[in-house]
Amino acid sequence: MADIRLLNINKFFSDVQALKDLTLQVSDEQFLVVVGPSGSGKTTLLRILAGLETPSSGDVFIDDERVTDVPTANRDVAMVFQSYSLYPHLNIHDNLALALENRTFTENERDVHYATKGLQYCLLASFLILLSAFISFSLSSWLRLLGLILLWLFFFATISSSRIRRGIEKRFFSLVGKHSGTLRSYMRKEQEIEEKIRSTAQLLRLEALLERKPDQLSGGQRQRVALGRAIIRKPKVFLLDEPLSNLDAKLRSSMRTEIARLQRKLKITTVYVTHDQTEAMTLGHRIVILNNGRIEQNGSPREVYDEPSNVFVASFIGNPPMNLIEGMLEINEDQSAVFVYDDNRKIRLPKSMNAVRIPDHLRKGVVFGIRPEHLKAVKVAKSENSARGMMPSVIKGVVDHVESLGNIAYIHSNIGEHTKIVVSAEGYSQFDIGDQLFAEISFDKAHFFDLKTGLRI
Amino acid sequence: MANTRKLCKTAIKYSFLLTFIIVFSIPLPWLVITAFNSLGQTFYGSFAFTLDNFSAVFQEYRLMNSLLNSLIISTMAAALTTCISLMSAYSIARLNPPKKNSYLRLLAFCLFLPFSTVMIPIYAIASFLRLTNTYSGPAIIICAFELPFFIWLSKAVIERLPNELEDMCQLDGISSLQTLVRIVVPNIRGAITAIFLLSFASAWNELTIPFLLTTSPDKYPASLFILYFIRENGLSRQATYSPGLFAAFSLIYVLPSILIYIVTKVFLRKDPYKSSVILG
Repeated sequence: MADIRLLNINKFFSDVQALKDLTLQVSDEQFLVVVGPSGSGKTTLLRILAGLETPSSGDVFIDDERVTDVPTANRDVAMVFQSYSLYPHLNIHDNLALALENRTFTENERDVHYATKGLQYCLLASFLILLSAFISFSLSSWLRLLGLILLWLFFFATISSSRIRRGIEKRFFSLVGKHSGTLRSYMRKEQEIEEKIRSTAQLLRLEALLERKPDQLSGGQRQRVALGRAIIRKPKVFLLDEPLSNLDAKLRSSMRTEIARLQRKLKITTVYVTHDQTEAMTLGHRIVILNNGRIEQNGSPREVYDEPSNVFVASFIGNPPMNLIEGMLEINEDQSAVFVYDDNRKIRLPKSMNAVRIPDHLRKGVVFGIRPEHLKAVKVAKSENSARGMMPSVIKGVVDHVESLGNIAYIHSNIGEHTKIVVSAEGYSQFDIGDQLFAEISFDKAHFFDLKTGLRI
Repeated sequence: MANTRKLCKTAIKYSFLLTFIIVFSIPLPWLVITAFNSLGQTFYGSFAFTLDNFSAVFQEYRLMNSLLNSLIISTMAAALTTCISLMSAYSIARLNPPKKNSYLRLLAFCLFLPFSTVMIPIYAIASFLRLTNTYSGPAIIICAFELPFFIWLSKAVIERLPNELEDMCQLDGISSLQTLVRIVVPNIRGAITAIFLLSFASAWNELTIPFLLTTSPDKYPASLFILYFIRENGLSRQATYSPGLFAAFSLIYVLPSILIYIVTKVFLRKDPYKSSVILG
């Protein structure tokens, strides 16, 4: 329905720069996940999109229309906050309705509605007073008191039940509506709102909860209401600010599926902010990694995972994170390239890597990056020297700690004085603490980063 | 040895405390006993239980009138204070008005301003505006002097509401006045009730401002009437009003303050965002 463009956005909070010259584009119907550590400016980015903050410089476009100075209400965006921020004094039905009311009714209709409401209560009150007067004049003394008390108790009980109150209102309004076109159109729109609330509640399985107050709901239910309040008015853009971070782990994964399903169904351009990289990988069509107010990488989940553009992205995406070893590239006496780390410990590199990547960075600081699943832990190394460069190279280490998750095990091992790596193994680990371990490297999945700039070589 | 020292310390501490308690609490039993005593002012003499003093208060026109005056003035002052303090506190807390900090500093200064220093200009202004001998005069000026404190209080209450509530209102397209009325006020109902009652109580207890602005005994509030009582009659048996009557009247006068103290605590517990600011 709408695409979003951010052009050279800068944002200062007094003297702290939260966003630095940020340019970003989200195409129509896309699910963009903005991920980054806390304090990276991702929430600020979202609030600028929503119009809750104005950028210090730069422009925001939604649907090719410049909305930098357009107030939030006129941008047609919906937002879900981390704390849900449902209106605590309204029940779920009214929470959902409030989002629509201001967009649906004209001033005139609302005035007529409130006037009618006032009239209704005046009539009701005068009727009650008449009845009270009748009771006090006609009955004997103690019956009179009893009658009055019962009457007023009945009145307050009726008024305090929202269902009955709505029923009375409906009757009365249809009576008056015969003579007022504005009221009739108000009522028609109100019915449309009811219809929308019903269908949204159905979509999110909230039908049974409509009469409850937010504090009577569980975390997951509140989350669904918050989502419902955002989707009910079919916004152009849907903004989610860490919506799952207050839920427990199990609920989080089911809500994750639900959000993905909803977005596919409704086809609304979505920007989703999170610090959780699992959410980022599973939900997004595209991932933007933000750090210190700058975009580190912008790409599909696969690109971000397989081709991280710098050290930050490599360490941020992936769980457990990529193994990063600082060291240097050198050429051995026999003309093969080696990676030297930690006081002359060496990893032999295959010939395929030599030509392109190494010459420029010879004897300069680099970071060698390899993901745990691209290392294979073996007990005995196949004879290292047999086929130089053809065989995968190995790193020798000592097992320090083992985490077994059942389907996968993470083996932490020391491979030097100061260097540790994590190797993942399927199923349960064959290694115990203190065992010797050889990690075979699949070099086609390995990365080198420049130590100074952090960029991938 | 150590035990004796400890005992001595405790004894000294409690004897001090007891002295203070006795000094401060003597008027209260005197008030209660005299109010229910048919034999007039006797703290030492005999005592005979009666409710005559109370029925006399209810039959005396001037006494009831002064209570009514107090009620009218306090209600007006409390309503004004609640509305104004709520709105200005909301704008200070949420809307970031220009010069917000200097305004807050000014408020803090007003909080410590002694009334006696501005008595003369206030009297001059009030008489120029013909606010002397009216209900609205004392009500407006009491309100003005209560405002700084209650603005600070309501500001603290409103700041406890999460910011996201207002962000949500912006997203839903609700104007800031509507936000105040439809979202903020319902969520701090209890605190608002407490603010109303507290300002009512302080207006009810106010003596100097009505004293300055009211000369006609018809418009005397109860606090002023008690003063008048002592001034004109002393507390002797020969006076128009007996001490028993005075004591009964004082008890009735004190009743709202006690009620308000209890009711305030009950109301404050109702809010979804509890304001410990007032609960203490």
